[in-house]
Amino acid sequence: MQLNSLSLNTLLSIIILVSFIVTVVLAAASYTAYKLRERRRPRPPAGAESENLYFERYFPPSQGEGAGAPPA
Amino acid sequence: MRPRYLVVLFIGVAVMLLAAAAMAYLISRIPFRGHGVVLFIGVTLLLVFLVILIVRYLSLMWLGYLHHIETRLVDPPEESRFQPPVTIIVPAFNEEAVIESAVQSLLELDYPAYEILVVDDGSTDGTAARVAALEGRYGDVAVRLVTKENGGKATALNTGIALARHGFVLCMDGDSRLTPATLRTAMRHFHDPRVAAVAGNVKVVNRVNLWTRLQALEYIEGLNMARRAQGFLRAVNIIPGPIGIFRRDVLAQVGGYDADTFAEDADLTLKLLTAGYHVVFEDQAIAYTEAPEHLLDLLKQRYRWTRGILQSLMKRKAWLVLPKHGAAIWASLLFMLFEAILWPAANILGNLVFAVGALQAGVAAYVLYWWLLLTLLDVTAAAYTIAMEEEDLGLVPYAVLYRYLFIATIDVTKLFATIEEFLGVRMTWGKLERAGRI
Repeated sequence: MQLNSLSLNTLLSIIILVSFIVTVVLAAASYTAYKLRERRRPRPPAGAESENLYFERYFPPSQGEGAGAPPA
Repeated sequence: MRPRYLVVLFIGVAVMLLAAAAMAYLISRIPFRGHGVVLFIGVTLLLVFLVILIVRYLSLMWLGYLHHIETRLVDPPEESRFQPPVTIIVPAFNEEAVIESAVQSLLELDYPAYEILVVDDGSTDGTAARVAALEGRYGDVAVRLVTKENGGKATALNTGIALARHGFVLCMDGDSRLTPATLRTAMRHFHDPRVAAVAGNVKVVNRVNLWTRLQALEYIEGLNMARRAQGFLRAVNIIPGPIGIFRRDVLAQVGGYDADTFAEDADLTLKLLTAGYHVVFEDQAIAYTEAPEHLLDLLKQRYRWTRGILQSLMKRKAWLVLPKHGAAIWASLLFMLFEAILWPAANILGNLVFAVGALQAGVAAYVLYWWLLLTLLDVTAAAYTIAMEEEDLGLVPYAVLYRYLFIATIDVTKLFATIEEFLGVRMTWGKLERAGRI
């Protein structure tokens, strides 16, 4: 079957569109897989942390940065 | 060599403007009348996306070129005589397999006087023993070992900063490798007392599969292009973990690394900028790093980067509202926020909206032209940045896959990470699996 230029363009466009949507869906699936893998990872026993754990969100101090004065 | 860069820049700018005009024409040709208000809004959003895309590319390329002229023509690295002694801090946690070669490579730096301080962060393997065997003096270079309880990279670096014997410190990763010229080319920037830190040029060493080659391209086209532009403004917003050089007294003044974010390097950089110091970029200060070779490890890295950057920015919300120390720092912080949140969403939605809009309006073939023009932009930017760094031209073809495969995949994780950060979902550091190719 011979395709004219318009239908070829349309075909390629659909391939691009489908590829992009599939990429986004696979990316979401990969993200889910990553989260599952992290969840299944063995956790250290309580009181024996073998890695730097992040427990609390940071809330900035009310008096601003106080990170030092800029150079002259 | 230099006129060629100028020609490449002008060709790049011309191609981008032509592509932008063609894309605007494509959008204008979509017959949205009679297809409802949704399509009209979609087309309007697309035009905004297009304008942002082009402005981003052109401004980064132009500022990057100005940075290139400034650092190569105005202040050539080979003429610098500013070479004060430096302490190189190598944080190491279970790096037994690579730590010896890492120290050996640091002994080959082309620099008159420095010390290598390895901070063993409570390793459970033979890291400390291997470094202890290397302790001593090698000409004007000293190798020292400090061991501490495990507390994470930030605390290891702070320990190294506290125990450093010299006024300048180079912070790196345990698995990074520097080139002999790295230290010499970076230190010249410190003759300006306003410069508190120099961000080096990180390159991917393990270009072994599709994902690592795309990351190699991303480091050059995506990360370095932005860093070069920010370097011209002296407001680099992330000093990369594998290579950053600092004034030690300034680090002490701002309190060193904080351990309350997942991007301690970005957090420290923002502390320096908001304290009024300059942070510059040196593309000859090269550090090779091992990139994640598997997709899930890559997503894990980007998830941590995104949440860490957001945590660092949220600590300085007030700085995002109004410029406090000049427009350059403000613009740099806004750019950080834009790249972390807005751009990933715009990139995915923009492409989807165009595709759906074109299909709905019965002009599906426009998707092909849209993709071709976007790819043309990416290939142009890749060729320009690769030429500027005199990197491997074999990476240019990967620009074809860059936006629709690599960036789309990364952006999905960035979006999820952003949502989880604002929901306060708990996360842990973990340690990336390395293949040990350095």
